[in-house]
Amino acid sequence: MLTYNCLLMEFAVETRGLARTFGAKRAVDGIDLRVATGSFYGFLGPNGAGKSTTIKCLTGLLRPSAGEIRILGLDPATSAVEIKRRVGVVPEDLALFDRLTAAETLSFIAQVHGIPAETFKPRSTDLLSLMDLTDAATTLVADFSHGMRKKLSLAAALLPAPRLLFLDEPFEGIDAVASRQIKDLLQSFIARGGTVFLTSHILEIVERLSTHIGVIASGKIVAQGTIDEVRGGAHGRNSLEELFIELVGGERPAADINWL
Amino acid sequence: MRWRVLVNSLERTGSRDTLERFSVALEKLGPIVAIVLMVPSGIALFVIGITAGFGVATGSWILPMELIRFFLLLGLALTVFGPIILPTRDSSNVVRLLLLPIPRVALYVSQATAALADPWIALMVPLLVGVPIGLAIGLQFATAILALIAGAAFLLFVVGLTSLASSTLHLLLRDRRRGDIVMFVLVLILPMIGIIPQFFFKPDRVEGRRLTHAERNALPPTPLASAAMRIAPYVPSEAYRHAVVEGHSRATHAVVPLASLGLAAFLVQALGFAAFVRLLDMPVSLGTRRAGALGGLWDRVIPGLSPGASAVAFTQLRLALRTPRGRATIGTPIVMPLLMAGLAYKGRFPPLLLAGGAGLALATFGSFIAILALIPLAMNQFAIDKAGFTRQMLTPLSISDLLVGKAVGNALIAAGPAIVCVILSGLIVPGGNPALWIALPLAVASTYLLVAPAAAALSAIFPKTVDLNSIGNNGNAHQAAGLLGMLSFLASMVPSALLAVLAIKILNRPNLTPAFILVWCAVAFGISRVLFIPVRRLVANRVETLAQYY
Repeated sequence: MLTYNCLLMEFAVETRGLARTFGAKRAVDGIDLRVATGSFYGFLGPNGAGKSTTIKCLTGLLRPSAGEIRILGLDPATSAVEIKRRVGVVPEDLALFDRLTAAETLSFIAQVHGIPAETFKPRSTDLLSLMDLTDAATTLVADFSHGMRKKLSLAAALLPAPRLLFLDEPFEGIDAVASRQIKDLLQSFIARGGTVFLTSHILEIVERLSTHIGVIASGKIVAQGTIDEVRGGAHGRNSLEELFIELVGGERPAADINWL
Repeated sequence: MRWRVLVNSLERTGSRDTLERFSVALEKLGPIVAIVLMVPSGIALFVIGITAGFGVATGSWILPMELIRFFLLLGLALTVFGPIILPTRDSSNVVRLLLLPIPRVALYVSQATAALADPWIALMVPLLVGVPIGLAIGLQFATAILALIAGAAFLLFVVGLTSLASSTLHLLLRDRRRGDIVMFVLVLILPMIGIIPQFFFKPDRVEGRRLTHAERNALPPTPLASAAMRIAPYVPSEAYRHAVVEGHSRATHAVVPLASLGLAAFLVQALGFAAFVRLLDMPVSLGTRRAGALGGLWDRVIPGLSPGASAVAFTQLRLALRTPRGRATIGTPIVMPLLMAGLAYKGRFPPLLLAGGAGLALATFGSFIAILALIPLAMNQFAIDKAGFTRQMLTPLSISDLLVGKAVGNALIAAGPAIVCVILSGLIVPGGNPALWIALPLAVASTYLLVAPAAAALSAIFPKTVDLNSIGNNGNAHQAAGLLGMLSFLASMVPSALLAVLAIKILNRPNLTPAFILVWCAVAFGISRVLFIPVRRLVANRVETLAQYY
């Protein structure tokens, strides 16, 4: 049994034996995650390794088949609403209402979180400006590009000023300027004591931003710790890409397709 | 492919529970049953075609040819509305096909030929093939060849018309704002199609008095009927009939109808090709839709609700206001009673509406239609949020708040048109017992209170990915949810109706009706609250499944 002290919380996210099965397939196979409070945790893995399933379990969208989860010291089984008050999520599908505008989406989030109007308005203005969505504030989300949707989903996650952010591929489809601004924002969020749990296929970004990483392959954690710790366990390889390929067993001979 | 989809939906997979497999299988079974049923229908139509051909050849039976005449006319009407009812046919495929090295003419031919798969067109084929066979059996070989040519020209016309209608619709929808308006107009027109024929017939009554057969015959045709008679000879189904029947008496008589049919087929194909090429030139959607803040209305909290439930309720209302299907839900209950009033005014509607409480009858009809029109939204209330449902599950919104918000949101969608309908009915046909006018909103409220938990439960059990821009089956709730929802609606109406009958007919004290129904309303509120307890558990258990519907 995990025991916690919410005030002196060492881990923002902790799981023990977390598993999720879909029929006979074990998408997540008894993983033990430890995401230190105030860390920027990069969660890596090849396609189909179980990253999104893990995030869905951690954010309450999927019920684990086995194991224990603690988010900010709370048990999602009994304190789901309380946890959601303190957590922001950018999920894989972005989870936006097509028929709301950008401003209305943020207003919806504010209402559900019970954020008063005087707090909501400046926050909304700041976030729309940061994401370069001010001009599109009254446009329906249905007419947004993928990049705009991603920015809005991120703005929605940040609006309630959460203590923990789950970001599933947040930089995919975002332009370089916005990407730079978002990276700066996330680093400032970490500096103020927030925690970020991020999945990304862009290893350079993970390497640059993350203080800690976890690597999942075939539903199991194959490495976890600070980047230096993980590097140490991987025969001193330098780049995260080489490290990642070695950990997930992805080294394959180059394809020889001469007709191409 | 349909069979494969059905088998796949029945197979056990990790991410699909038994209830979901059952729900998906039910949804897929409908079209399969329809296809299976088409085989005997096709055989029957083939036989009718042969009988009609033989009847024309021998000059014995007229009825089968008349049947064919009306079937082809009906097929033509369905051809025009087909692309609206089945909007998925080709809109997205066009873009994908453009990536392939296929000539545009070939693309057009493949798209137009696909129209033969539409059930009403597929069923025309055995009919049109049967007629020349029947003529040949009757030893009228020259007429058989004429009928074959006329049938081919008619099919060419129908296929071209389908392609033209489909491409034109997609061209109209290419601009998103214009598309919203077009779909809204269509959505309002479609439910009225069943009523429109009534305007073609002469009235049964004048000033409340039933007309005799002779008096009715003496009346001039209605303006719509006169217009239809003037256009009739140029309608291709009529041209086909003329070509066959008059061609039999003398081959030269078939020249004009055959030529007009051929010309019509050529023109419609040319127009269809032009519209299709235009669609290929710019297949992407244009324009953006903006939404007003309505003076901050959406940011307010509905009295008596938590901020979260209020936000869900307003989101549901906005969804209805911003989609053609939702607008139809709001618009239909207002338009239908007005049409009924028009028919009653023309004497097409008998006693029920013309009796003392005609206004009240119209108001009652419109109010209950307002709840009935909610079915596509209310019986699929979670899946219509698409990815928005996941967003709600990521926020600190309890399942209770979600359910209350949805129930209130749906009530707001129905309340607007119901109120407008009651006011309009009162203004158009004033009068009636005031006590019954008071009882009406109470009866509607008690009905809705009982429908609401059933709607939430059915939405959780039978979710369906829908396109609320579509007015065909794509925008409907799951068939099982729709059917059970309709039954729950009818069952919920019964107590109010019985109490009204008790007060008006048995006790002969209509003034007691509001009191009776008020008490029932309070009881219904209690029952609704109790019913929502298991529904809350059900929805909580189905969150994983519901979050996949986008």
